[in-house]
Amino acid sequence: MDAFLRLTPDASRKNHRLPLPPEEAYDLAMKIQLSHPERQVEIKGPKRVRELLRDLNLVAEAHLVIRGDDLVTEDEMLKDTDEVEVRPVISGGSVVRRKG
Amino acid sequence: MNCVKCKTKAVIGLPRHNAAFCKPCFNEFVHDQVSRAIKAERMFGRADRILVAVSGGKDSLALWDVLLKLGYHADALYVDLGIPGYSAKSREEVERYADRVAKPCHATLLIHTVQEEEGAGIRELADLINRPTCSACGTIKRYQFNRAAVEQDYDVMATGHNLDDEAARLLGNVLHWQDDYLDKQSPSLPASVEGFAKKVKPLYRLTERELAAYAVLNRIDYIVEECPMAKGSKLLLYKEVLNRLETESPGTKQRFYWGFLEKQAKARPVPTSMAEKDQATLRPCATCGQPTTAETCSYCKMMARAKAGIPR
Repeated sequence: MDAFLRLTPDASRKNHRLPLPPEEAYDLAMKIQLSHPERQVEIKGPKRVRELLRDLNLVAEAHLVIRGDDLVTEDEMLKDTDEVEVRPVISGGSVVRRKG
Repeated sequence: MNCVKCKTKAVIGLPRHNAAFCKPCFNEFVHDQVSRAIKAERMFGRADRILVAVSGGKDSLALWDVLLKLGYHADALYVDLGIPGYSAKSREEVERYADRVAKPCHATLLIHTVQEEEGAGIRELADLINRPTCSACGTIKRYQFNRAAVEQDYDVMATGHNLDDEAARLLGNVLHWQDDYLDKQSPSLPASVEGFAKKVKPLYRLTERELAAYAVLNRIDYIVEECPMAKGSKLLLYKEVLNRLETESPGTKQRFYWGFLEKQAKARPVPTSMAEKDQATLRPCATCGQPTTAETCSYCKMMARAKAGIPR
């Protein structure tokens, strides 16, 4: 109820507006660098590494997930501000996809 | 996820060992696995001179790095195959590693350029003799690595084959019941006849993912994009299948390959039987003197055909 009231324009304060989050916050998503073929995708976080791989349909055993210069484990939480590389480790470079 | 040894934050989880490690403990794990492989298969000793076959990929550079860190005398040979857009990059990674890490350890990088000796790059050679590029490449690399090891008096030649490579190859050989090839799947092949270098695979206890992690953690730059010629290879398909199984059932790859090695060791003393078999079937090539089952070895045959076909 309070929230509704606060959003209702106040006649006595003509230009009253609640500060909105900056526009780019709505567009923010983690940047994921993929290989074979090399491409970049954006995925909305927060998300655990394990879930990211599942969403990308990739097998954990065939990939490393690198944030900045560091390796991250499967239980690590990734944020929208993160830049992440999902690197295939198989010699020959094929992308291994999960079933279904 | 915390390191199972020191309880600090882990950088990698290893489901097949039901473990996770921080960077220092993971490096220790990798070094320990290589040491165990060297000891278990009697690969080489502290006094031996080792020639590592390097390609610029993660496995061979990680192998060179581990051997140097463990204090072995390990030089390396890079064969420049002249693959457009690929060989130059892979050579750059090898040379960078050699300058940064190997030289300070007094280790040497040897380079063989296919274009210089064979007169053409691997693609043209394969076209000239009408053979798949990977097959011509395999013949040239096997030949040149063996030749360098023998001519320059190395005690042993080491390659970066890992658990995934060996398990995938085993799967392929079993699927096609290629019994003859099973003998050659040992991680340590003896110098059975004069002219044959001893060949070892010290990384057979480590997966590709672990070796890529080792390279990333230790800032070893390697060529991530793979050889353009390897696309669509059967070995990759076998690796994919095995990795699906591994993800669902951790430890599948090691149970498959190590189990095979244990059974083979119990069945018969492989190195002896292989050495006997080699001694009975191999003789010096009429052209170059390296061991072969035929009058002329496959490398010399290939080069003779290629040279006859190369337009002047």
